Amino acid sequence: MKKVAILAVAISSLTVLSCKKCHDCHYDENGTEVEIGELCGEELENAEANGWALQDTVVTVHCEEH
Amino acid sequence: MRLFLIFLFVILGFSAMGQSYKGVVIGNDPLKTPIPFAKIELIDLGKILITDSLGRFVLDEVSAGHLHAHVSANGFDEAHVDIHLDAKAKIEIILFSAHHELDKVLVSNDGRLQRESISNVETHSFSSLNQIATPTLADALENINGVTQSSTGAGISKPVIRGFSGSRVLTYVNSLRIQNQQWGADHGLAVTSLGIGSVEVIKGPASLMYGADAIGGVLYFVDEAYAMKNTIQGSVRTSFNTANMMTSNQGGIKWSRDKLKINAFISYDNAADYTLASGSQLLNSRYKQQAAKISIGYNFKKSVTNFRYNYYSGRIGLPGHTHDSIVDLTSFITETQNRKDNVPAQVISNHFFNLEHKIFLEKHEFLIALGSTNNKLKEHEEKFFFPDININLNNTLGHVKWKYKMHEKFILTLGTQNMLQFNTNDPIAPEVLVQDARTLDIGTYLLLDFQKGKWRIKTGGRFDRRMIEVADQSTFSFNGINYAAGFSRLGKNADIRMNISSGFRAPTSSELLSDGVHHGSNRYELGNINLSTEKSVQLDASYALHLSDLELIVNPFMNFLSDFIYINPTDSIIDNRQVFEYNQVSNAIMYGSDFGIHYHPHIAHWLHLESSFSTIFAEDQNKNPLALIPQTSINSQIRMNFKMKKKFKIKNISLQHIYYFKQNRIASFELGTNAFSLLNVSLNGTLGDQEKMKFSIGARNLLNTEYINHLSNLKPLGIPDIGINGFITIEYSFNRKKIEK
Repeated sequence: MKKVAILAVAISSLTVLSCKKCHDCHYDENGTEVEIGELCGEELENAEANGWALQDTVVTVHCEEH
Repeated sequence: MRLFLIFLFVILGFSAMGQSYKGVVIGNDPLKTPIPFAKIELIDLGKILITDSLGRFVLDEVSAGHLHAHVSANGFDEAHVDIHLDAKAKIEIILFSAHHELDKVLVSNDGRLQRESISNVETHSFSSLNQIATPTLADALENINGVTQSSTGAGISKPVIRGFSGSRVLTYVNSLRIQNQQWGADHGLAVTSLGIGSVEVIKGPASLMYGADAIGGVLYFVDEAYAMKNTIQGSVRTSFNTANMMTSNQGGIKWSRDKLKINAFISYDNAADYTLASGSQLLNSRYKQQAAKISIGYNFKKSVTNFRYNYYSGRIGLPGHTHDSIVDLTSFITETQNRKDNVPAQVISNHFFNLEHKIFLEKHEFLIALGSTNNKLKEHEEKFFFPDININLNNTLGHVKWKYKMHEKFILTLGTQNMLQFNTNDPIAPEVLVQDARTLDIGTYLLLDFQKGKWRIKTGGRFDRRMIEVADQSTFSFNGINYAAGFSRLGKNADIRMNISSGFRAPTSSELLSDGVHHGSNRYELGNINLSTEKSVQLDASYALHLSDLELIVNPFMNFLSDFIYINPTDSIIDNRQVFEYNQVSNAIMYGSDFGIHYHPHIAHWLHLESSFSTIFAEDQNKNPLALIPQTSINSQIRMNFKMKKKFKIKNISLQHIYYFKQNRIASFELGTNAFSLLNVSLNGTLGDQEKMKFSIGARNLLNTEYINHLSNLKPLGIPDIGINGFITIEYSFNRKKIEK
């Protein structure tokens, strides 16, 4: 019984801890969506906080599903 | 603090003396036949007793006084009795034999609130509301006549009582008032069905007992009872809904010794985008939520203490969001059902604490209830990591009540309810829906109860003061004087009730100061700083007939409102959303009636036919209809009960038909709603000799009707409600008596 409990806790912990948030992101350019690709974790957080840097400008990223 | 501790020691000191009282439950036949294994639930103490094979029971470790009990036994009518504990006399409870099993399914007026409330109170067990399994608590509440819901997709729904919702409806969980920014149309009910045993509903103003804001009604959720003495009970339940691929899992355990009782529950729900009648999915209607609760009760000899903690956290998708320049239904739907986190979304967490202590003396009864609630609401509009709205609402509540039996026929109740609330916005969040503010409510009430024979007369008055200090140093204060009076005559076959009650509500800061898009309700909302306190007076009458095979109820009401605040759609569009503006009319009136019938024919004891009808009319002094009034509806149900002796038993099959009438009494710029009907079906059964395994299988919206409820916040976008939704629920429960010491 104890083994089952330990196993259950281990599996559920791994399931929760290994869940990394990734989303497909894009930015808008002249009315069209330009795909950036999948951003995860800190990279996604930085892109949302500071925008996505292009060569000469920084654009706002959109990562919601639609 | 020292004074408070001394006070606590004094009240706990009442536990010095207690004794045992013997009693018997008997039938009403000439031989006074004892009733074995009758169940006696002592509501005030949270205790359950079962009589022995000779109908006897022993009530130990309580002091003299009065207790209220709910008594039930197979083949007998349920009874609510006031037990007078007297060491010199044996308790005798008489039950009337039932001609056959006709439960009071339409209305039971004998819950916790009715004994102290002048208004009409309906009590429903959660299981009776959930005969056909419902995915959310608000869906279950819709089975109460006069109660509907406003919703934003599947994840956000809030109850509407006789056309009132939001800050006009108070929610209580046990004795704790719940606050969760309920003024917002998209801020759903703050509790789930986890561990809820029953719900009591007051339809109409109830400010006398509940203070400011209780202008539209009160929802009072009561936790499941503790297990019987020296018993462990447990259950695990899993369910699945096909329309949104929702999995719902919950478990609970109840443990009870001589004096100490503990209930604990935990649940997790995860829903993907829901499927419309067309077969497409509504994008971002997904949600996931987890809840836990624990109750710890301890019975002293003259008092009982309960501590309760409720936790909830959820991430609720907000559908109806698009960047399309040309917006139509296709902007909001998807062909790929998904449950991954998305934006816009609400992220909510709630912590509710409640400590109550009740003392029972010969002629006195005291209640001291202290509570604290914390609601954190984040609204992510475009970003996953950075909420646009981040509000923290802290609420501290206190309630002291003294009940004194002055005379055999007179009871006096005196109480004070106070609330201190802090609303704080995260300064980093770019949007502020409601300004930082501190609100203090102070209320005192007096209630007189006179009872003679079948007649009961109640009257009372209350004074309230609300003070609001806003962060910009502006202050508001509102006073309210409320009253209520009523009488009832409770006969064996017929009950008559009539009452008049008043209520008041100060405008919320959102009604005063809103100016922006409210994503959850899909509106651009404009506040109005000229709003004043709204008041209401309701006349309510009810007649209920309880015969052996027929139950009937008629409950007309008329609610006179002054300075009524309402939100009205306009013809303006800002940020691609229709503008809704807060307005106030000098006078308005809401009137209507609830009807219910329950027939259980002699020739077919296995058959139950129930039907209820509810209608509301609402108009201002110029006879203009008020906005967002629920559709008239007829809710009919056929239930066939079976008595099988096999291991696999079908207990009942239920078929429900709900017809919603066309709503064409609409305000300017409000959209009307076409009539529609929904068909629901379920089959409930058990497995095994001891019926430890229960199952339920069925479907809601069986005909896959495409419809939009009049109170759906997605209605202006033309987004339909959920399509056909099959469900299956499996529950395993156990009950182990005689805990080893």
